[in-house]
Amino acid sequence: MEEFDSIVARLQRHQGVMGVMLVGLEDGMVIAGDAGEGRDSDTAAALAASLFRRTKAAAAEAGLGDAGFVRLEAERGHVCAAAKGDIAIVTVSGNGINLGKLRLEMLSATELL
Amino acid sequence: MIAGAVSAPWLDAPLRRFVQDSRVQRAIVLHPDGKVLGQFGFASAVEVMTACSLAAAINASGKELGRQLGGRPFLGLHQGGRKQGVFMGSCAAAGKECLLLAAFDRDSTLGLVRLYFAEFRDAVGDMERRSEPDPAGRDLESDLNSSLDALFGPLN
Repeated sequence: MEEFDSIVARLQRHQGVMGVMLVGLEDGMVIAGDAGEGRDSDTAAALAASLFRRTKAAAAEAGLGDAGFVRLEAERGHVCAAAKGDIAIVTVSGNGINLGKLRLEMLSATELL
Repeated sequence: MIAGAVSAPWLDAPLRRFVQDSRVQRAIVLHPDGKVLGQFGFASAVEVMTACSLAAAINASGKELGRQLGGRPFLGLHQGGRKQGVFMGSCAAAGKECLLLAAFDRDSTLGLVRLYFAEFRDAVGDMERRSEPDPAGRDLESDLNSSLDALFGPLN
């Protein structure tokens, strides 16, 4: 669990990131971290895992291969997810964040899983 | 859309929404004594009868196990497999305990089922009691049979 916590801590240091979670893709449950203050982590984890799984399936159906990174753009921020194996790293961030850097850091963090 | 039926009209909308949102394959709502209130995804009365009996037994065992181990009964259960999972949660409808048993495959996850079960629990929690009081002297078998008759019609 220490490795998981250190991944969460590393991404939480990124400016503009409000929540970081490691989520099981198979069960949609939180493994480490949280969605940030005032957010229900269980709900966010379940929906993010579902989103990621369905996006992967859609990419595969479209003949695009595996989906490694998913970004959901909302009115007041972004939900990003990157996965390796059965675990997804999910971040919740506000607008104005450096998404390119966050993406690279998330993909790099998946190598630590 | 998964076919289903309810014997308690107030249950129809919340159960239908739960099944649609959580993408479970089958769901059944029952009283802890095994009396079925509604179901989606079951093909026959025998399947419902079996599921109700097993769910009631699992619930009784889980409650007692919870009391033995921690002094408080467990309120939920999940059994996960590689391809399928089963979830059972307890909720109150009009002051009476109900159980929801759901079976799901890889189209859903435990997280999603728990999420939409919480919504289902909130939806039925505020329901007024609309069913008639249980007639005195009725036993489990007659309760179960009348519920199954309401869901599937009389057995031949």
